[in-house]
Amino acid sequence: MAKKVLIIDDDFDLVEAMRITLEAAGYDVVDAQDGERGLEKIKSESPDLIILDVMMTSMDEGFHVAYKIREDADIKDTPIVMLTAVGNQTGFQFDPGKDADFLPVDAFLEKPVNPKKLVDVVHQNIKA
Amino acid sequence: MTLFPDTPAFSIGSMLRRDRWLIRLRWYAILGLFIGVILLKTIQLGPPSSLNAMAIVGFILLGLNLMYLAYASAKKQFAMSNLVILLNLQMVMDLFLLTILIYLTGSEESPLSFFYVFHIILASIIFPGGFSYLYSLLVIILYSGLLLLEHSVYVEHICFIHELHLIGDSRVVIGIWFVFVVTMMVSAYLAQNVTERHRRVRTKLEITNQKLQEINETKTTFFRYASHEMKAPISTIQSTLMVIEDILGTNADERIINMLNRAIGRTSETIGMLKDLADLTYGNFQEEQQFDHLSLRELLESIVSDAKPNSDRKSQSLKFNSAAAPFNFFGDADALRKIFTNLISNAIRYTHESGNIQVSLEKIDLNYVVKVTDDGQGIPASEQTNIFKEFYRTPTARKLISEGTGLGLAIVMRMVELHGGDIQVDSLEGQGSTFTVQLPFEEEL
Repeated sequence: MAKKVLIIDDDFDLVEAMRITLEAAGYDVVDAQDGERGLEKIKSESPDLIILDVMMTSMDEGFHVAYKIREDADIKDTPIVMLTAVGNQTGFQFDPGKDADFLPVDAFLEKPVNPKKLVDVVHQNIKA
Repeated sequence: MTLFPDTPAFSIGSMLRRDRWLIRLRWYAILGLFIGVILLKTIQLGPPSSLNAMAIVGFILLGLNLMYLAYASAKKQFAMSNLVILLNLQMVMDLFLLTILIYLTGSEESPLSFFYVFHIILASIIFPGGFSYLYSLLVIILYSGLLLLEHSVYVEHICFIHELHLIGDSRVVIGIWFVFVVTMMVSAYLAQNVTERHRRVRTKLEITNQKLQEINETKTTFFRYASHEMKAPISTIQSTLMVIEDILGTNADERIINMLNRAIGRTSETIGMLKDLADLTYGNFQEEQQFDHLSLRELLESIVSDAKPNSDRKSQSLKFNSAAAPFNFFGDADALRKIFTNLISNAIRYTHESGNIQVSLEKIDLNYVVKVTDDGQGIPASEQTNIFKEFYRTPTARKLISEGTGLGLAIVMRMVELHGGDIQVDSLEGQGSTFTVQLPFEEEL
């Protein structure tokens, strides 16, 4: 059975671009437009990996969603790939190794999204 | 003190500066007085008793000025009312002593009465409007008092110069007195008028300046939001283009692939430009700055090692020299990284293959000084002042490398300023350039 990826991002075109790439790579893709609906989808769809945008309705909505996922026993083991342009925008520098405690995500992916990198990152972080 | 208008000209700071200034001026007056007494003694003009008394006045003034100085230095916090009293006290005391000096040098015979004039000018500079009139009134009272006392025989007139005997003729005295009064009042009016006008212009300038700053801030805020808002859609456009290219694969028409690649390249350039524009306004919003304690040496080491692959590609030598000390600094790591990444990547870009680039860090007085030196093409002297301007690229840089926004050094300048530092360039065309960044640090206790 194909692995399922949930994309939580409010940019419809970006979601479509990622959906096309991921479906071509053999993944099932579901999406949600904001954090709240994202959390509902995690419960109802139980995805194998979550791609989460940092900036949605607020500058750091993605961070809060990530914390909520990690606090919920049922879903806390789902790998999270954080989608970010924040690294360039506010001067935040992310390093998943160093900031693991600070930010409970498994990987970072920078916008604009390179399709090959996207597939690589999803492939590396999704559990077999 | 409602007498004192609430303008920058009458802030506690400027009143304090005037206090120091007045004390400084008084040293010159004391020096002048002593020189005068010695001179008069040498040319044997004036009665010796009178000259000795003048010297005593000089010593009294010296003692007073030392007291004023001690008071001004000892006290850290001043209330406005205290300062006003202090300054007035000094001025009144000065005028009183000057009157004594005038008496000692022959009252209406004495040319020292001219010195009243600059006390009135001083009063109009130090205090607001009405004070210079008050002081001219005080001067007139002191002078008239002196003349009256002498003429009522309570006080004996000193004949400074034997040949001069104006005192007998009351018409002459009244004439002198009248000219004196007019001189003092006109002086007060003129001095007060000029300083008042000067203050008005200054206040106007300050208001204009404040407005300009506000406008500039609005502009920067607009820049920042605009560049952020534009970056998101362009980034999505690039993501989509990359997906299309990826899906088309290698089978597609080469022209289409080339077209897509060019489009992706152009979106990258635009994103780069928008990033630069955002960087240019970095730190405008307090909450954005992230000042922290860091080791400048470690930061530079990591920047140099990040830049290494680029210099290796051009077979250049890129070296970092620094003492082993950590060079503890309180700064914004991200902004500092941008400063030195920019300078080093410029050096790599504009230096020929197998050239040399040196980065050094040292402590000079209360500054950390970072130098980025290359033996590249250099910058002509005529262009050195322009390179920090926004969007400016030297013709040679343009010829050498076509892309580039011309914002890099403007960003560097901005980030250096954010740390209260300074940047300079030394360059000889054809021989290389040195960019020197000075970052002031505070000694840790």
